[in-house]
Amino acid sequence: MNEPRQKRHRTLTSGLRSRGESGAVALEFALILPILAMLLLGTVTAGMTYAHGIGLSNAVREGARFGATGSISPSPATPGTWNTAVISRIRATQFDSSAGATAVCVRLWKGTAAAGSVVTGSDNCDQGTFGTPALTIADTAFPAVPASGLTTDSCVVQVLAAQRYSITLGVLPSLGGTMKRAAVARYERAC
Amino acid sequence: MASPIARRRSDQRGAVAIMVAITVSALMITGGIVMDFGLVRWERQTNKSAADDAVMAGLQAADNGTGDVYNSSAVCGAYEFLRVNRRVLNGLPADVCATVNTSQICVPGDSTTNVAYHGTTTAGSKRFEVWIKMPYSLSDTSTGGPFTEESLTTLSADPGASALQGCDQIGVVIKEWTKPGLGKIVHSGELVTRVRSVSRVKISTGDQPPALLLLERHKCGVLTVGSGGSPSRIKVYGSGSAPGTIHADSDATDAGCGSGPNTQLLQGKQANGLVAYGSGTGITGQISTVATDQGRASNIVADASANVYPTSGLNESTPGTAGSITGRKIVKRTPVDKRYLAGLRTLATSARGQWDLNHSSPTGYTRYDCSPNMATLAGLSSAASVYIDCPGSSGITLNGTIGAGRIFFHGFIKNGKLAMPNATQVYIDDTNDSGAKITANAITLGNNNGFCVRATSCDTLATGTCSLTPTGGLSQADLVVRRGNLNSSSGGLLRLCNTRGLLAGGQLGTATNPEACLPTSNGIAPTSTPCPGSSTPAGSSLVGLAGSTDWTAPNRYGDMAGPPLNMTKAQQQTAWDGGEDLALWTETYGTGSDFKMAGGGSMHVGGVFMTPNAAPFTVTGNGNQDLTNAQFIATSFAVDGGAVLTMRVDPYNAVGLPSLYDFRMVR
Repeated sequence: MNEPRQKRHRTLTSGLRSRGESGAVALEFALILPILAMLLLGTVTAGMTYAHGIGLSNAVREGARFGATGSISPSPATPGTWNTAVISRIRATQFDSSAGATAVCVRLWKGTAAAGSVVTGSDNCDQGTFGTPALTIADTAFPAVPASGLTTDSCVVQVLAAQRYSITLGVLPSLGGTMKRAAVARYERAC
Repeated sequence: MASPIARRRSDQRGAVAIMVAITVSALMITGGIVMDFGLVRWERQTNKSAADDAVMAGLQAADNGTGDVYNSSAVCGAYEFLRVNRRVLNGLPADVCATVNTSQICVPGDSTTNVAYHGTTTAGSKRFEVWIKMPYSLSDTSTGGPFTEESLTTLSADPGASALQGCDQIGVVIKEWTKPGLGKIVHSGELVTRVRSVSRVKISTGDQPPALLLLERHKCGVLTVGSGGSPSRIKVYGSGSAPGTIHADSDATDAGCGSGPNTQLLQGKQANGLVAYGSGTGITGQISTVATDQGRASNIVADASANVYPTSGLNESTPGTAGSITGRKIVKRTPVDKRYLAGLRTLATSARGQWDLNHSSPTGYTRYDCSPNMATLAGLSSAASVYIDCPGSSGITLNGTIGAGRIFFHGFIKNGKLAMPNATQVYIDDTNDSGAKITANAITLGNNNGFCVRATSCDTLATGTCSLTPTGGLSQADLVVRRGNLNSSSGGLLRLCNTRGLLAGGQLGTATNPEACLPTSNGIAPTSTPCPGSSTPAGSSLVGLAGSTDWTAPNRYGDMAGPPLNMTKAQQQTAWDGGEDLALWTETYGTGSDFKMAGGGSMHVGGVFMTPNAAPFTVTGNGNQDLTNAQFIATSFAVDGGAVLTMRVDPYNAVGLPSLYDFRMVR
């Protein structure tokens, strides 16, 4: 009869493999593990970076809108308290526990791109725990004043926010950098 | 030959690696697909946000303070905001925005005034197509097809104002094509999204003119009514469908503004001190300030809600429901300038030619000295031109009538009682032969003296008062004063019927000192230096009328835009260039009592009184004061001495407020 012989063979081979191949599987797994770890860590940290990027994009846009509708005057809302409020709003709308590490630069520009000036006291950069080098309004990513659609009486809110990121790869060096997001909105009150 | 067991052992080496490789690959492909489709959704949301910002910025760029929709500025403003906020669109071609036509106005139904931007660009594997349109119709299918949400009840019932044919709306449409990466496995074609944002502004027909338009930008005390306990009041009634309206441009940010006594923007001083009544069509009166628009506290805007308020009632007998002071964006003097400046410059230039005439033999005039035969002058017809050459320090004192149409006074008017029933042009060159100032006043009228244009009676206000009824034909005069003030004391009468007055302030026109101090474009009042560059201001052109004043503006037409006239905008502008509805214009700066009317005398005035640098224009006294149909534009305005002003501005004979308001997103 074939059936009992096959059973005997299965039992025999299983026993041999469990003894002989267990080391090989462990070895293979040990070889694969770093790649798996890299993929896992990379996926998680890249996903978090992606989420932070989306959060930062939304935050600068919402902050610009907040700044565009918030009163810069009359007192006590001076340009100084206005920009503080905008920066605070941007951090709050990141919905991110690392928002304190976000650097934010805000400015209110009055007039056209060609003939205008910064509203005195409205420009401010808050670094939080961003570190060095600090974010400044001179940053090339700081948004430009739109070239048309403005008058000498109009104002534009300009916002730039930056956050550092790091994608952990475990066995390989981490990938890091700074993500920057900018937004511009026309100020909707008299300025 | 290897045993089966050994063979199987060697066959299965690497199986884990293969399984891991297959599993990881599957995971990565799945992750890639998820990322592909997720990114498309994220891109769509980003496009929508950028379009939202662009339409709001563009719509505001359409407002130039004139009530017209500047659609080239709007479309190109939206285009620039789109490029700045959505950097992948930075490569969009300029198309119609290569040159922004800042004077382009959207005219409903006139397709030549349409502005439509269309451009495409690529960024990596993405392609974009963008449309920006103003006028924009919500049923427009040329931007990549219809938008299905328009069939939903909530939107289909909101198509915008049909008469404006989209001129009140700007639309931005962004279409994006994305080539999927690993997503190709489940979707071979490009992933396409399309978003749209539309914003809309309301456009008033300009039929809500304010009785008082106050131009002060920051200070308080802009409108004060008497002192506590005095009976002074201002009552602004509605007229027809237009409610009683007052507007102040001040944002109340001056250090002197506060919640203490006499520190508010509007000060009624007592209950019902300052009230704007509603229209006969049920529209509540309107008192608006920029300060309210900017969120200033109500106790800084007005001294008490019981003292200063708009109401739905028509008058004191039907008080209605009190409303709140509302916010309005800054108006400035622009709407008044837009209507009248061009015509006034023509008038000032014409007057300049008169000042330059040879006094001894003025071309086109019959010259008389200080003591003409009044019977001769009375017998002249309207075709005649009379030149009274009397530049001495005693002034010109004439009693009687001058029948001529064109009358030139070389010298200042001092008392007398003079009627000029046929006058069409009256010039007062109150300088001596060297062109220097003689005295402060161009007209000074003591007790029982009068100066009357287009009126046969020059005795008392009780008889022959100037009519406010439209004249139909051309029946009006221009009074141009070269440098001095208008002055009357108790018992004096200044009667200027259907007369446009221009007080030139001694400003003769140079590169730095424009003719009659008139700005070359829209003015910048209020300013204490209305004529920059004038180092030696030779005249002042203030108004101090303590006697009786009877002054109405040229009023040929009633409703120009409506039937039966149905005048076009160009035809209306021609009428305004000729002085229609304008009573007084002086750019002179003055404080304290520099600009004052009434005293104990009577007051009957109608038309637009443009004194943009009067800080304040004061009406005082407790005489018979009829300001029906008068509109005052000044830095600030004050009423005192028991004066109770009843104002009712005819919307057809005054300057309306600029009419773009209520900017909002509708899609």
